[in-house]
Amino acid sequence: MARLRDIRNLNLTCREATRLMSEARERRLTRWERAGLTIHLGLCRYCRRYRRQLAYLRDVVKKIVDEPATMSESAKARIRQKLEESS
Amino acid sequence: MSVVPTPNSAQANSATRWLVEHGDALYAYAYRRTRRADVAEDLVQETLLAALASRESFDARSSERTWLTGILRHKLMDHLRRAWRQRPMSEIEEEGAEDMFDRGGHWKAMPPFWDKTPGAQLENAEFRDVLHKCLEKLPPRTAQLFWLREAEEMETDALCQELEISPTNLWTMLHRARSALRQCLSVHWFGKDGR
Repeated sequence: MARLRDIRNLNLTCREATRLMSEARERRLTRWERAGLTIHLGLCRYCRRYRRQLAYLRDVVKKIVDEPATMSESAKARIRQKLEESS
Repeated sequence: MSVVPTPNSAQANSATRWLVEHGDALYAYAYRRTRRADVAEDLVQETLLAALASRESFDARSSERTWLTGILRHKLMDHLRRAWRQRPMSEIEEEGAEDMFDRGGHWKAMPPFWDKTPGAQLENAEFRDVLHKCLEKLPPRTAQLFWLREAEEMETDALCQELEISPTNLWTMLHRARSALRQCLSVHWFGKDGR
């Protein structure tokens, strides 16, 4: 059953909505949070744009993370020497 | 492959062989999660030294790569927990970015339009430069969490346990990191907010 507090919480500010959009990636939002966010996003062009930018940012970062990385030859040489010293 | 007890020189040989065969993969694993070349190199070295010292624990049924990666993961989490404790807690209280909202909690200005696709932007060296500068501006612990979270598809519950931090702190810091990056790119690349 809906409590008065839940119903009041349906009315999100942009600050709260942006936080929930980020947290939605970390945890499952409650039914009331999801409802509040849906209502807010339906009404707020600014937050819809924020949501698109969050997705954009995630794509950008994911692409960077997936770029191949290799160890420098000097680091390898340093590690090899350490390994030889300690065995 | 036979696993025979070996004298010291042979031990060194197997460690250098690990370095040749798995060094880049281990480095990539660590770099992906820390984005710090120096840290990743240190972790690879620690991992190989630890592997040398505990060769008996290697289960010949699993692959060497899996075994070494397991040690590396352990070292990485250790490193993060330590860094976490050493740095002042105040970072959590810090605002990551300039406040984008007014007192009523509404946007001060419309976020600017972000044009092109992420892939197209990344081909632009100037964009990458701005992006890296924005990333470097993140407070160190926030940055660590951010990269770990973006590289790991794992549940944040499990991540919190490994790092010994509370989920609320984690969510707050990730939200701050994302907001700060979004803000920084909006201002320095996509155009001034609402102006």
